[in-house]
Amino acid sequence: MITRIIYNLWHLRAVTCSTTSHLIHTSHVILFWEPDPKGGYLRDKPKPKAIELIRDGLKELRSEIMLWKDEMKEHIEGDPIVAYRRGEIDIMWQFSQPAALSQWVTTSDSDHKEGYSTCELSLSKGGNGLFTGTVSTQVPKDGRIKRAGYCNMRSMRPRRSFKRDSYFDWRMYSHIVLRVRGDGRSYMLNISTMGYYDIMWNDIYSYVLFTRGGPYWQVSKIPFSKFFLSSKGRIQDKQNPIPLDKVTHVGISAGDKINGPFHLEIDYIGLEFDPTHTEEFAYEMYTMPKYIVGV
Amino acid sequence: MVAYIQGVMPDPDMENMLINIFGRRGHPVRKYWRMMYWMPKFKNISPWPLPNPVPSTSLELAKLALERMSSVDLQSEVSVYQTSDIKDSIDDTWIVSAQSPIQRELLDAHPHDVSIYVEGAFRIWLRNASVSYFILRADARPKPNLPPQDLDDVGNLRIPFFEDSTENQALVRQPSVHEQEDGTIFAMCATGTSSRDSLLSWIRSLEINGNPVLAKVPVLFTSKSPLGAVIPIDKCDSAESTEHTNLKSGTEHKDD
Repeated sequence: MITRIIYNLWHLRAVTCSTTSHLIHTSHVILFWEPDPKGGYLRDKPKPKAIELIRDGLKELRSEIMLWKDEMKEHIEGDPIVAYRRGEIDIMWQFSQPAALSQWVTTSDSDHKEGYSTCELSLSKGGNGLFTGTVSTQVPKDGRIKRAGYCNMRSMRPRRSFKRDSYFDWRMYSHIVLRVRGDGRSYMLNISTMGYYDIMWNDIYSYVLFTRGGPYWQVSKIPFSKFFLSSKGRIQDKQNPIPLDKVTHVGISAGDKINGPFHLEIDYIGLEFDPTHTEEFAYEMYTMPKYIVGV
Repeated sequence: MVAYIQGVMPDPDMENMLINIFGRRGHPVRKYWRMMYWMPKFKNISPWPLPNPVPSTSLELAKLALERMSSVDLQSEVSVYQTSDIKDSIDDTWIVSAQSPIQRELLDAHPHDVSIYVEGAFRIWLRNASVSYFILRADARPKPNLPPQDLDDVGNLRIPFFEDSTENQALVRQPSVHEQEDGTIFAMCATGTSSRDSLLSWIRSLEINGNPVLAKVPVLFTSKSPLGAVIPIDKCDSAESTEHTNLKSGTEHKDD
């Protein structure tokens, strides 16, 4: 975290050195705090009026109270999963109905006029989730964007009643399991652990999802210990195992710099506990000299 | 740091130069160390490794693609046929076909009056090159019609000591990997032209090479490619990607 603060400070210097550089800066330049979890991306979105907010809020009151009632009921019943067995996959997302697709948000660089990639998440003919689109690394000629070419799908953040943010608690699991049918491309599997402080808003743990291609389904079982930390697309020098009780989003992104259409069919995303997997973190945690990795 | 985008890896000499110029805490040195830490870790993790760069000839690419796709069944054989060996073929091109003994058995056991389909073209990517492939498939086998069971129901517990445990157990053949939920896959191929004539030659080649049942089973050629319209991409590296021609004929024809 401290490395990232220093990184931000370094940006401060870069900005103050030249008075005009903030006009052409592509990265974030406000330093000690970030005003917006979206990094300013939805800044231009018109805000609804206060009266509309009150009206919509009252409309949602009923469903929120129902949700709260269910939560209380679940709390009193207290029926947790007591045994996690090897080979049992607890499915978190099954992409078999249109309702399941509404839990996901797709984004691509063309959404913000930062590129020409497009994507969509739909239902395939066989009744599975189908993440398709086109990756294009063509950069728009606005002199601001340097790189382009990504498509992403991300799950909605879990929440409790009355719009309170929540987390997934996956501490009992050791693997994420996906049943997919891809097209031979490699995709990035992202698990966001959005923390409380602004500096942890962009913490994403990632690993590669390789696909075989062809007409056969594949089951990819990826241990959580393999996921590495990056923030705003930058792999972090100071790594740590993924905090599985703080998972907020799961995403799959296509951005392998290969121009052309992609096609990823997803049956489910699930979790599994495998007691034979003892690795805690796949990457070395050397003690480094001072000021090389963090402080 | 354009070096790694171009595929050029710095060596320890470069490290020495960077240390001499920027010092041990310099940003370029730390960038070099970062690269040397992470990049070799991820270089060879793909379960389906590919040469880098991939071959530029479409035949070699097709062979790689078929080997990769048929890796689900270790007994699969990838063979190359020539359409010129088939009588009356119009195209003169190659066919790379993949089939395993299990698929041959499945095809042999397929009822003669139920038609099977040639479907495609589908796309597979090998690094930055794409190959179009076709599959020969039948509709999925119907699932065994077992009475629904509630495994969580403890209302009717039985004592297994005094009764035959095999009683009331339906026997179901273990499905092979080729029996997917959306169809049974009998073979896969990629041809030099992706034309319908080359696909017909593929069926004839399969018939000669161990699938005599194809002379009797009706084979339907689908007229539409699931790939849809080809999207123009300005910067697409067309030299290295094998472009396919979408099948254009309008009607399905039955061929037996």
